[in-house]
Amino acid sequence: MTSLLLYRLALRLVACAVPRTLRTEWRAEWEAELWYMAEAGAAPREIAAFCWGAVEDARSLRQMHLVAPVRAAGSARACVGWVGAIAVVCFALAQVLPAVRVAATSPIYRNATDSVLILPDEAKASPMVPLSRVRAWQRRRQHLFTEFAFYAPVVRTIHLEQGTTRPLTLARASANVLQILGAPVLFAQEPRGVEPLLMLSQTAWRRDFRADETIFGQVVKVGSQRVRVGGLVPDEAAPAGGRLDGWILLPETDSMPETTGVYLLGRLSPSAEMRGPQWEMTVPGPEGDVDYSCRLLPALRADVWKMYLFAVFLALLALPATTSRSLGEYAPRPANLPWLATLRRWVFLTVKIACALPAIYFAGLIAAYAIRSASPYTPQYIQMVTTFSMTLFALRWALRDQRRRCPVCLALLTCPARVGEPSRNFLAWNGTELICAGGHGFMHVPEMATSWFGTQRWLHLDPSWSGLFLGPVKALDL
Amino acid sequence: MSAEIKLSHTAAMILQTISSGTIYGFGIMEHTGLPSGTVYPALRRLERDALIRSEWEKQSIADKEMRPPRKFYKMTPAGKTTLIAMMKRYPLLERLGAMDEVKTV
Repeated sequence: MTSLLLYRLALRLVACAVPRTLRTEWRAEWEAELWYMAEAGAAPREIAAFCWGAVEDARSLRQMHLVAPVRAAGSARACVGWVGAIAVVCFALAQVLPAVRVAATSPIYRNATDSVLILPDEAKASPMVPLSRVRAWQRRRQHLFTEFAFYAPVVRTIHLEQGTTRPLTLARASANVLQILGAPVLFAQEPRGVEPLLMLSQTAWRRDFRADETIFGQVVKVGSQRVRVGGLVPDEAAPAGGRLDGWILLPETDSMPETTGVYLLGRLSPSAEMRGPQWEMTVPGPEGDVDYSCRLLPALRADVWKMYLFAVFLALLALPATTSRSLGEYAPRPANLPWLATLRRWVFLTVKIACALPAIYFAGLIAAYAIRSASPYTPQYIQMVTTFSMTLFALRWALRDQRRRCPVCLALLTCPARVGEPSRNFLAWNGTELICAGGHGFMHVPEMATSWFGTQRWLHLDPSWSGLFLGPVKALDL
Repeated sequence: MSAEIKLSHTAAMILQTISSGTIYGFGIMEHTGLPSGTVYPALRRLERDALIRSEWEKQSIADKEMRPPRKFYKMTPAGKTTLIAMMKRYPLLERLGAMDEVKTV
């Protein structure tokens, strides 16, 4: 009895492979035959052979009732396949390009959670610390900080190749300042000779050196000092003291006068636990206690995912202003159409957009991060603009493509025909009539929206019209 | 018209079996020894070509006997004409004995 139930279950499963229109009858016949076989005392092997025969039946039936897909231009599967393929290609490219892979997985700029800017108390006039005090701290054993770095902005004249000079705002800094700041250095050069390294800001590099990549490693004269151009740093690298045109990294800072005011940076000891991003600190000195304000430098990450979501959100907001969101006036469920067919139209639209969004994400990353940029903000701007543009384009395309398709078989509509005359718009409609090559119906697209014919309409043809069409109305047969 | 239809040996054998009277699928399988995966699709093709016709047994009869209704197959006049033509093509078909399990609807 149990085995008979199992056989029935197996037959029902096999029946799922039978074309839908034939399924009920075949299942009834198989189940009836099974009952008679069991009653006739057929051996289990015979019954199993009968059930296996049902599989052959189903296979044969599928071959006999092959679905003739509507071969009108652009089937739904091909459309989804293309969009999916683009997404896969973009994903593969994003994985191949190292800069993009790094951008997607790790921060591109400062990951500092231990870099601190130390400023004298705000009540004091100058935000800078005398170098003598910094040297005194460096000599003492520290519990809160593991190392210090500092820089002092100065204006120096740089001698350019063309024989011209130009004043630059430079920072004379300790050699470890960029490490503590966590600023990335492009075209980094190793120190050679006695010349200190000059790290140019991106703006100064473009403005004064015309973005010449051969300048890196060369020696230039700044004021009376010869320096070697050692790399490119972001414009925003300096946490205080305004925007700098460059950094002169001094291997030895002994030559700097004790009275020089410097911006002081410290690296927090791993064991130090601070309650907030800012705190006050009192340091005893020969002239009495001095109050300092300490501020943790914020980590600067390229949060590509948030940027992507924001750009998509903006595109969604902009969409109604750029295109019609209407998909036409269709009956929610034309007669003789199963719910599945109605649902399929929406699934298709969803799948199209779902395939396009990852493609846009990876394409945006490629556009933003494939080319190296010294500034941490430039790639983010590029990512936002490209993601926004591509999302808007993709959504517009998805809606437009959806409007051009038969809501039953999802093939592109064909044979556009002009109907009516604009001068008769008051009494009749004028516009374009398209037809589904599978014979599922007509699409009427008005040329001028009126109060009674505002958007495209779908006229569903039931299967009794199938004789008029070459392709049988079988798109939903299976 | 139907005489022009060319049948495979298997289909002709099934047609010959049905010519004995009204019969059902399992009976054809038993009589011919053909597997179900061959018999049922062949029956459908014969039915499509109007060589046989099928009809379900009345539900009331099956209910009275506490069993599911069966689907019976019966030869059509076109099927008889085709079978005669096939007999000439496959002479061994005549040896196929008449069915034991025959039921008239």
